[in-house]
Amino acid sequence: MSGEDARRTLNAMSEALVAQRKAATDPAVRQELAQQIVAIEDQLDALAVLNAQATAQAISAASMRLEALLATARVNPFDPLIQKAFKGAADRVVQRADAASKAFAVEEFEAVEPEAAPAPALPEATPAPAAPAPAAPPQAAAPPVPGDDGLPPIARGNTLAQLAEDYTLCWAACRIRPEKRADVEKAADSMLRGRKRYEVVSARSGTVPWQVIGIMHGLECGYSFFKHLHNGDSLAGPTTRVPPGRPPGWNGTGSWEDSAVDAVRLKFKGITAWSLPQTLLALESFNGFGYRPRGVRSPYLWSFSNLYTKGRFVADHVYDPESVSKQVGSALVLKVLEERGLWP
Amino acid sequence: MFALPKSLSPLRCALWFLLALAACGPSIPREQVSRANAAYDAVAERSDAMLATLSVAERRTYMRTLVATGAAREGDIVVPTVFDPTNAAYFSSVGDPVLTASLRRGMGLVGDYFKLLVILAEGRNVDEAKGQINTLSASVAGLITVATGGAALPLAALARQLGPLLDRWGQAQNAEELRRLVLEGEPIVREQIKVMQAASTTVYETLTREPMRAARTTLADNDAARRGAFVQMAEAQVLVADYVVLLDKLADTLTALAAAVRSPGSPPALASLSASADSALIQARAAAGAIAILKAGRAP
Repeated sequence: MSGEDARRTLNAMSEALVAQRKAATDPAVRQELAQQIVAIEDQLDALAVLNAQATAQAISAASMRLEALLATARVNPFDPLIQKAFKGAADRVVQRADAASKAFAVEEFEAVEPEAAPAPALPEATPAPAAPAPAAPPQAAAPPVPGDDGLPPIARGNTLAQLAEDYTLCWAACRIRPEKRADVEKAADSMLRGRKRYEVVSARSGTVPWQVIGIMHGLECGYSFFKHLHNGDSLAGPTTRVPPGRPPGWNGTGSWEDSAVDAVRLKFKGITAWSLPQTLLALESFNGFGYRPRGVRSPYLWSFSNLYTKGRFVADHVYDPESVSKQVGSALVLKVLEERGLWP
Repeated sequence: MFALPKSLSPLRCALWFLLALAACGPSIPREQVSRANAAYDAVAERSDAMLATLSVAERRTYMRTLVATGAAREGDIVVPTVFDPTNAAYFSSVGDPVLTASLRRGMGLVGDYFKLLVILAEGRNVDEAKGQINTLSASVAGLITVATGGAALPLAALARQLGPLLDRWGQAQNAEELRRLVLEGEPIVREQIKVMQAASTTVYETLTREPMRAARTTLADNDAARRGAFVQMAEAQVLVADYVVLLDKLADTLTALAAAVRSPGSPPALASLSASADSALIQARAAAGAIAILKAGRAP
């Protein structure tokens, strides 16, 4: 019997007993009937409370969708204009400051030639190269591939201890390619449109920065809020690709934020401090560490910068050294956010 | 497409084209936005009275269930033997019980939605945003001065010179954003309205629970008091019915607004485009000069 039916039946019973009591003359019978009516009314009260709670949940679910829409509202009409018009001026300031400092260094100090270090032998390509999957097996203490372009050498490993210094050096050396600047800015703009929703997920997840969530959203879902953040599968059902069956118990009625909280908790479990190296490690881990043994910096992080030229996994376990990534590196989006004062 | 007079210079041609594009861009259905906002205000006012009564009724119903399940009681004071934090809302003095809270939140969000559309339709955000540009331009001017060691660029003055164009840009952006919020928001807001209307059954049940129980039990032998309970239930019926009907009207205004956004008015006449072009040409030339100075990175 449904809740509605139960209430109808109980109400009908109560009314019938009220009529009987009214017609009864024996006090004992009237007393007995009164007690039965109270018992039914107690049940009706309990059903009313349960019904109110269930109705509240349905209203809240609809409200979350409306709240999410309002979070995307752009009430400053000049946001894109400000970024474009004034950012150019800020870039020129930075360039002039860089040029001035270099000129000062050349004038004041003699150039010192670094000692030519013996080039370590490059390791042979392993027969089963790591695929672009998370958590490639840790490498042994192999010497880092030397950089022949003045850039930091490419470090091996997949842990924070092994790669922290590498990330710090790469970040300092990273320059967005001028011809790709517009693409990187556009990627950052796309990401920022969902900022308020990422902040909601960040707050609910506890520690994951909204910037990381936004970048992850772009990489996994192309910024669509109709897809699971885990892997871009449709929100209509639980995920089917890796990781499958997420979120647990998902029946397609939850919000993107509900799914996203599950995704970030799963992906970033145990991470409580988000330093720059930790952030870059987390981002590189999405795609795996399979580029490092090949002497290539991950395009997932550095594509469209001076740190990446070519080479990518075109399919699982299939590496093409000549293929060039056409996706904006996630570290570059972070760079633009830093320029705009939005990170860290 | 418009036929261009041969005497136009390239700058004027470009400006004509841009104005034609802007003229054909989204227009703002101010009247429909205003009506929708007024419809919301009407339902909000009516629902406030309903929600205030509902909050009390919801709490009292919950308290009765505590008594029925063995809570400690002294006269009309009921206290649970174990405090369940998930039910704190029923005891709290600073918030509403769950159903009332969810309805208030839903109504608030719908109100935020229409208020936002009004802000965009009336351009209330443009002046404030222009103020931000002036502040930002002063900061950038300071940075350039420090970096170049030269005289400060009059960026704040340049930004003010761009003022009329910024107004147009802001209005165009507002129109675009309003259009997006209406088209994307219509199904979501409609769903919200529908869910809140469907809740009317539960709202009525909660509002009438206590008088109905009283009419059948404690007031069963007192005809006058029993009649009072029935009057109370009839008043609840009117409250809830008004709420549902006004939500219907709100949904209708939303439909009209969405229709207006989907089918904006016809493009303006050529003559009015020409007049706008001349006025904007003067502004554009001034702005082009200002931008050239900015790009050159030197004082005028």
